[in-house]
Amino acid sequence: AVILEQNPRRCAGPHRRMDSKEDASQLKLGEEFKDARCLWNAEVAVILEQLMGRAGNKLKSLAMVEDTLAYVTKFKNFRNKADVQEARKFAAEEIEKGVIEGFEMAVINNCGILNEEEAMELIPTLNDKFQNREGELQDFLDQLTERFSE
Amino acid sequence: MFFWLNRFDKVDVPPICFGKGISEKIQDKLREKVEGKCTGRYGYTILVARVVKIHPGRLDVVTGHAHFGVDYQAIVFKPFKNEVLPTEVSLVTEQGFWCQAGPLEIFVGTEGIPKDYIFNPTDKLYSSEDEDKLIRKGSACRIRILGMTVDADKFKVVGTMKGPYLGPDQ
Repeated sequence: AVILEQNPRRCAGPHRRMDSKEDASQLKLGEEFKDARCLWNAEVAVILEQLMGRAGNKLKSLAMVEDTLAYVTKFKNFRNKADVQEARKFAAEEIEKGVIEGFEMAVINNCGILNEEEAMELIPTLNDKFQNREGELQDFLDQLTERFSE
Repeated sequence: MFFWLNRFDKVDVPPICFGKGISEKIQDKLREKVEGKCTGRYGYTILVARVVKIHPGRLDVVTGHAHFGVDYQAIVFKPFKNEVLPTEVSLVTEQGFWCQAGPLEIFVGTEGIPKDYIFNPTDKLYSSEDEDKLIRKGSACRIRILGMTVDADKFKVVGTMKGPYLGPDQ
């Protein structure tokens, strides 16, 4: 059934909300992103290649997609979909156990972080999780990075 | 950071599109509305990956258009303050350099470059004292985002490479 509306149009401009409390160093990602799935560069590459293969030149944001694909291809750590899925399976188990957050895992992957000291320096929230647990973070990083195929 | 995000948007469909194939037209209108656009709330919407549900339409008695609510999943890129990410250098000047991370452009001024990097105006690059590390067009550089504002259609972001494990060839 069709419902008639009197004034459905609202005055709306581009949404420019800027939350100054958002801060990656404290894992404050805002309401919209706190539960959203962080994508690794390799995953974005797989998804974009598939969708471009289907939609091709019909994409409205073709230039942005091409630039993004070039970027994630340059900075990905996995050669193909199978390698990504295997690493993601390992990552999901660790996230489920509360060892690490999705955002932290994505930064480690996307930046290709190999050692404990580097991870703690670049991702301050890991300091609290792994304080006084020397070696555990390095073990985790070794298990993750041995899955890198690029 | 790239995200897989569940979103909801309203799409406005003119009467000429009513009838067979309206579902495809709604999806087209949605893509026109959000793909390739930037907002402060969601960042850059790279593309609409999947349309989950198209809600029943509501007719606008004034214009004759129908408004449809659409649940969909999109790939977005949203930068955050203090986020560390790999970038590709796109332009080097005496005032600093510009670098790219997907759709995002980041400016690193001279205050964000360590003092031991020297600008070479002939080759348009920065080189470390021992010339072991270079910042030139096309090179990779790891950056931390210091701050940002949102303009009409893009983020204006300032970054730094000062700090441990930041900079070129990381």
